[in-house]
Formats: sequence, structure tokens, C-alpha cells
Amino acid sequence: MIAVVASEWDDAARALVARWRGEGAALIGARDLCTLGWVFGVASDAGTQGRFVAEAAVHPTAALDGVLVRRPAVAAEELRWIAAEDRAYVAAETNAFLVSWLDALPCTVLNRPSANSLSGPGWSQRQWQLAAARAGVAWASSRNRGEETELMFCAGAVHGASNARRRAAARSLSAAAGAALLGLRFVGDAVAAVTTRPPLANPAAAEIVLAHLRSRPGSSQDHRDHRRQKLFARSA
Amino acid sequence: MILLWGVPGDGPLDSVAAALRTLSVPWRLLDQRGAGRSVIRARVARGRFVLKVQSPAPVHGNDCGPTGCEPIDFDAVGAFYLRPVETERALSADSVPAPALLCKAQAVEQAIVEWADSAPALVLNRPSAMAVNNSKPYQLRTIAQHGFDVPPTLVTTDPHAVRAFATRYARLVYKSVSGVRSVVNVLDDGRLDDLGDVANSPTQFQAYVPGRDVRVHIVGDEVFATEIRSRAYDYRYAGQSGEDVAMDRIELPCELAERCRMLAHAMRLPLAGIDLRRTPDGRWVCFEVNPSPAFVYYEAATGQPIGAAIARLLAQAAAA
Repeated sequence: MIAVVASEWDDAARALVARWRGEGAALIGARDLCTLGWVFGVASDAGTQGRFVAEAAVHPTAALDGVLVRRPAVAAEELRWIAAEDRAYVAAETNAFLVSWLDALPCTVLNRPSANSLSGPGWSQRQWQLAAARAGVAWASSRNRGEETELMFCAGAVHGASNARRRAAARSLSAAAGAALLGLRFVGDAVAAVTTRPPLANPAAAEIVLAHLRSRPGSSQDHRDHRRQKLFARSA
Repeated sequence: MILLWGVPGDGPLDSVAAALRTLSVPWRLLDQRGAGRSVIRARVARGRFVLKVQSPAPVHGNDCGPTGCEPIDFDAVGAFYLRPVETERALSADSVPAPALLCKAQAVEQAIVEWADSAPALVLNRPSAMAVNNSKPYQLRTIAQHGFDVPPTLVTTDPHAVRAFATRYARLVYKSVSGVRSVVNVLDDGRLDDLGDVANSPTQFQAYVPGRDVRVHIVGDEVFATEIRSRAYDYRYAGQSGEDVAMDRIELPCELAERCRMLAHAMRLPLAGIDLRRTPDGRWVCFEVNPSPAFVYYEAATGQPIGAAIARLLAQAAAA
């Protein structure tokens, strides 16, 4: 089974789930996080004995083959069924829970959460630029001229306007961030922007992601937090 | 230079500032309340995050330049101690700040946080390392991975799972999953029969661990241990339940002190407040690692010179 953690208002996520329905795909929305059925034993049976809720149905966590995360956080404003004065608290609780649950899953998770984001490191563009500089990757300035292109990178596989330099840049930033799935925008061969939640509207890009979600973690590039932490530890 | 960042009047910040005054080292305090009216320059250059901040807030410290309000060049900062509060609270204690002021302040704070996460300076503590404390079960897994006993813990939206969990332990407590409203409460029999609200949000339940609380402050390689005696389930809020709190400084067994140092080091926290409990059968159980400990509470009760140790650590790093 594939789960997509996303907002119910994320049309692209709903389209992916529809495309992957044959894989038993289901969307985990904010409402599901406030529904009876979640069971997560911390530091004991984490990820194997528990249960989760997707589209209002309860499933064993062990049934998960992979999870795609398409949101950095659950926003208080989404929780319309919660009393207004409790929404910020429930959002904080929900995010804190999801970080620990996603981190503990033994299956492939794109991308693994960090303490700052449900998907990847939660970096600003300035932090991506710094990571690029430290990895020797060119970052586009206002003086850069060249064609604007986009590239999706997923654990070594790419989709989009690829060449050796762009692939190498994507690979370096993926390793630096500890995020196997990236979307990158280039000006020429210089990186102009990075996201851990690429759109995946293209069927071929979605197929690459699905293939990786079906794979066993650790088989290619299941980056974890410690990889990212090393980037900053180097200069400390 | 040593830079402190926060709101004057904050106990730990004031304690460290007071200790720095006794040392012959250059230091300065950047008052968070001035963030909304500050001027910043932030850019990435040659693999470094270059940051300059000019704040209109009153100056504290002994390294404030000839005019007393020179911009702070973060390149000159060799050690950084940060104790920011929520932006809204820093800007105005009793009214809602103007949106433009709030946005400006948040941008300034974000730049400082990004600098703190990437700077070559000693930072107590790096924001990305501190953020782990925002998810208690996430942090608990990290603690367990470093060899500490942790309480059996369940996070659930299912009342049936809570009741099944309760049959395995003599008593349960519940507390928030995040760092918000983080108070420990006991789950009594009446509450066990009325768990309908659990379905509204994931809730964290833990087996109650009997024993004596010990707070361990790690400051670099220094270890300060305080034993707490209280009948309250959460001694920090003992007054609310009419209970008393007494504290004594204690010496930890060497092996345990070393494990605490290693845990803080592994979590990238040169400054940490580790919450332990010693059970009647002699086990040490770890509940949490606080990355921004309000150490003055313990310092005042025991006389342990924790603020002075932090000041020394900052001074050593800034001089290196």
C-alpha cells in the first residue's frame, strides 16, 4: 500500500492517489489525523505493530510499502472541525505526532521528516543556496543568463531537462539535505530554486516516484537526518 | 565577540549576562524586542552566511562600538547564546503587533536562526538541534537509541488502545506530543472510562515510572545534577496541586554522567537539561532533553553555578 500525506485541498496529491489506486494508494489528510484508529508505540513496536488512518479507514502500519509526503506541516486553519481556540494546539500536536510516526516507519518515505518539516529539512531558499555553495554547486544570480528548466530527482533517477551537470547538482543537494526526492529549477546549469515537494503532474515523473516507493529502504538512497547534520557539523 | 539574543528580564539570559560581566571578554546582547525595527543585510558568499544586524533597541554589553549602536557583524561572533521568545510576545506583551512589524521581525529572526544553524561559531544551541524537542516521541526515540531507558509510550487516537495499554501498567500518565501545554497528568480510573476526546487528536500516554526526579544540566563537559523531591506528578507545576518542591545538588555515578554527556553531544546540544528519574530498583529512566533549559530555577535552589559555566564556555569558544 502507498500512502500520500497531503492536504485534502491538494489537487495534485488527489490526482496521484487516483493514478496509483491500483497500488492501493490512499491519502492521509488532516481529518484522518483527528480520527479514531491511530496506534503508535514509541521506541518499542514503532512502525510494525501500529495502525494508521487514511481516507477514514484504519490500516495496519505493516501494510505500508511507501509514503509520499506532500506537505511541510498541518496548518491550524485546516482543522475546521476542531474548536477554534484549540486549533493551534491540535495542529502542533498533529505535526509533532506525524514527525515521529513518519521517522519511525520502516518503509520508504519520500521525504523523511526533520524536526522542522514533515518533508525533508524545511530549508529556506537561502539555506539551499548555502548548501549548494558548500557542495560546490553553482547557484543562479540575477546576472545568470540561460534557459529556465526544471528537473525532478528521485534517488538517482531524474525526469526533466537533464544533463550531466544538472544531475550532479541534484545528486549533491539531495545528499546534503538528506532528501531523496527533489524538484529543482535551473537557469542554464545553475540552480535557481529547490523544493522537497516537486509537482509530479507528469505521468513519467510520477512513475519514477512510485517505483522508488515500492523499493526497500536503504536499497538506493534512503537518506536520513545524520547525513544532513554532517553538512553543518563540518564548519562547527 | 560573544553575542546573546533574547529579551532582557529572561532569567537564564540575565544569569549568563551577569556572569559575563565578571569576565574580561567582549560581549553584547541583541534585544529581540527591536527585531521589527532592525535593519539587516543577509547573503550567502563564498560558502558562508554573511549577516549584519542593526537594532534600535537599547544596547547591553561591553562591545557595542564607538557610538554604542554599531551594527552587529555576525562574522565577528565567536560564541552565541540564544533565548528567543515567540515573536508576538517579544514585540508586545499585551497587544497584537501591527502585521508589517510582525513580518519584519519574523524575517530578521529567520535570518538569525539560519545564521545560527550554519555558523562556525559555538552556538548554544543550534536551532535545528533544538527543534527536536518540539516532538516528544521523536526525541524519545533518539534518547532510546542512545542507550537510555525510556518510559513505555503510546501515541494514539483510539480509546480501546489506551485501555489495552493501561492493563499492562499499574498507572498511566498523559502529556502533550508537542512542546505546547506540556504538563504531565495522571490518568485516573474516571478518566479511563471517558476517553472519547482522544479521537480528536493524537495523544501521548506513558507508563507511570515511580522514583526520584533528577535534572542534569550539561554545559560543555561540565555536569550539574539536581535531585528533586516532590509529591506532584509534574514538579514544575507542584504549586498548582498544593505540593512542595525541595532540591539538592547531587553527584551522579561517573558512568551515568558520561552517558549524559554523550547523549547531549549526540543530540548536538552543548547545553542541555536532561530529565531523569531513578526508580526504586535503581534504574535510571530518561524522559526528555530540554535544549533551552530554564536553569535558574535549579541554580537558585541549589547554588550550582550553571550560568557562570555557560559564560565560561562561551568565553573559551570566543577566544579560540
